[in-house]
Amino acid sequence: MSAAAPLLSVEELRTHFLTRAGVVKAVDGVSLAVNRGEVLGLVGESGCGKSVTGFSIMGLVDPPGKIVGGRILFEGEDLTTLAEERLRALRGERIAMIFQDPLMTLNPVLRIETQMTEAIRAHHPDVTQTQARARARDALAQTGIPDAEQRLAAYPHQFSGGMRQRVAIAIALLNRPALLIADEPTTALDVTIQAQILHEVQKLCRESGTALIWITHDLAVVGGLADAVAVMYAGRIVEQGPVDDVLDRPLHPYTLGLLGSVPSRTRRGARLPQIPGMAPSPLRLPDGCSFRTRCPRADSSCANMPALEALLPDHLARCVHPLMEARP
Amino acid sequence: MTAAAPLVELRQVSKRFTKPLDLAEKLARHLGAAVHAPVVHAVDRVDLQVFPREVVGLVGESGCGKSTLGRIVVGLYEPSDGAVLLKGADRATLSREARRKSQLAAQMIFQDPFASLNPRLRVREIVGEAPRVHGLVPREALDPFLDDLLRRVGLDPLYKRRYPHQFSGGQRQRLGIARALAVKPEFVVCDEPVAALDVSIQAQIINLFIALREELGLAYLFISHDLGVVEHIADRILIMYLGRIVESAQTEALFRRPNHPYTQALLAEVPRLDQRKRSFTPVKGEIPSPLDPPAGCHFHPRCPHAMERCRRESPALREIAPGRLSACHLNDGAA
Repeated sequence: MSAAAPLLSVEELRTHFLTRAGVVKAVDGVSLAVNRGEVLGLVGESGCGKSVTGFSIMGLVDPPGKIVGGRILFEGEDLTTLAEERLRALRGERIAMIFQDPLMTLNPVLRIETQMTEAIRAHHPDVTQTQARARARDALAQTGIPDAEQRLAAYPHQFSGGMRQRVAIAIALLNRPALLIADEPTTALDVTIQAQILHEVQKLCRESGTALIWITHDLAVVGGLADAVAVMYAGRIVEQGPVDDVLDRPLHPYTLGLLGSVPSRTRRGARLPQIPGMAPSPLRLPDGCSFRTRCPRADSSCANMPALEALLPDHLARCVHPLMEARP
Repeated sequence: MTAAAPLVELRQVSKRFTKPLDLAEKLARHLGAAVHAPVVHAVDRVDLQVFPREVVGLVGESGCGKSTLGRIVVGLYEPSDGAVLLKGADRATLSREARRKSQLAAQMIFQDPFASLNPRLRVREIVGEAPRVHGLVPREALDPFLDDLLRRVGLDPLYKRRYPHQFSGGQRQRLGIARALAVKPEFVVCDEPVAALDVSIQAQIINLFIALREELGLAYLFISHDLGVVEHIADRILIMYLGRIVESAQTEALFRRPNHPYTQALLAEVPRLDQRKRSFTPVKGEIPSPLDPPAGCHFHPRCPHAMERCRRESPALREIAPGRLSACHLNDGAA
């Protein structure tokens, strides 16, 4: 692999759910790339396909969902064609994931120690139980859990929400993965706890050079954390680029609408510039641009699906009428 | 503040929840063991005033008692101590009839639009039941009244025959708002009304709250953990930590110069759109268990400025500037 190739490159990924009511195109032609040590924010509202994108990379899409097209190149291997055995070897070792609700990912009837040493020894059978235990303890301490030695013996229900998320992060980072996918890991947490988790993740990724895909609906968190941002709407990426470009000078009307919807101190008490309507049902997407039914700039030319194009250097958007003129 | 009487006033209101002892614990106590029923001080001697047409934001993290306080205000909980005054009259001394009237004037909107609407009732019953039962709207005028109300909250009156599951999250929250407004309240407690919604839908609902306030002259107690939302909508903000109000100020003043170390920490940690690639430098630790709150100032184990005195003595909430209250020993030196 050449030095320039990205760590992960998703090309035209299509993950569809074949339901009785019809085909739900949860992810429909998503392409993105993440370099070593880079943080990519994948932003969108519920149902836009951001989580399914993460699950697809991990190979965790269950029926009726199916990856029906595209490639996921990770360190030169196409994850969509790998045997399950090889995928298992990669998951938890080279790629790890943390989820919104750590109660769902931790086994409630096993001690933290068992779950952590298992994650190490599944991938490294030559590591002894004592060594694995020491590594587990260090990983807990690294994510800011006090009394790591004692806490190893605890069960998941004995931790608070924030502490549980730290345990999940510690497990995800146990084997020093090259890529970490984080699916809304701080959404359920309080502000002070969210700041602690962001702090730990930021520090750990900086120290270990782990690349991070941070999936969220919270633009402000992405602004504080990410190098690059991809905005998803109805299964497709509508805008992509460096964080400052996308958040300060958005090209797509949807991105602009999302940014306007965030309450901020400059417009106190005034009405927020809202996006009218709601996201269309994934079973009945409009022809052409999926956003055109809510878009103030839409006209008849939007009936053809625009391509995701680099309208500016490094800054891509999928729009017939991008916000080019209003640029400061 | 102004000379107008507050719509709602709480005076030194506390709410304690006691977990009754189970059989084994009762037995143990009978045999001489030192077992006490655990008591949670969910709300600890809180003063609160909401004036007509005022929006008061109540901010705090999970478990700080903000929802309990909201429920006391609308009368869903009775306070363990202290008095709730509605337009100057103590609720505990009101006659049944007067109390019923006063409770109609204070309504509540809940966080979870999925759990707070009866799934087996149609919209017509959900929204129309209360005004009909309380005789606020004559039977023959109910339909036009409902049409008007639904339009006001941004729903199509044709939806009257639908069930809650036929609506999206944002639409359900609009239904919850319509239900609260159906009895023509003057004051609405909004308990995290936008926390469960997507960003674009959240903006729509916030706009609806702002519009309704202007059109109907409503006052809100707006409970949220999201400082950005509260900053946008509230005139005055109360910060709550572990059952106590630690700071209270006009919104601009609070955000310009937060006084209490907890407020400072909260403001510093809210991710903002205009801050890029920042380093998060969080306060240490978590909210202590309300079953066993720290002595003295509740915030001292996490506070970067904690002194010996903070461990012993709980600071009083006192005025540090006109219209500004804060409960911190640090203000003693500066004053």
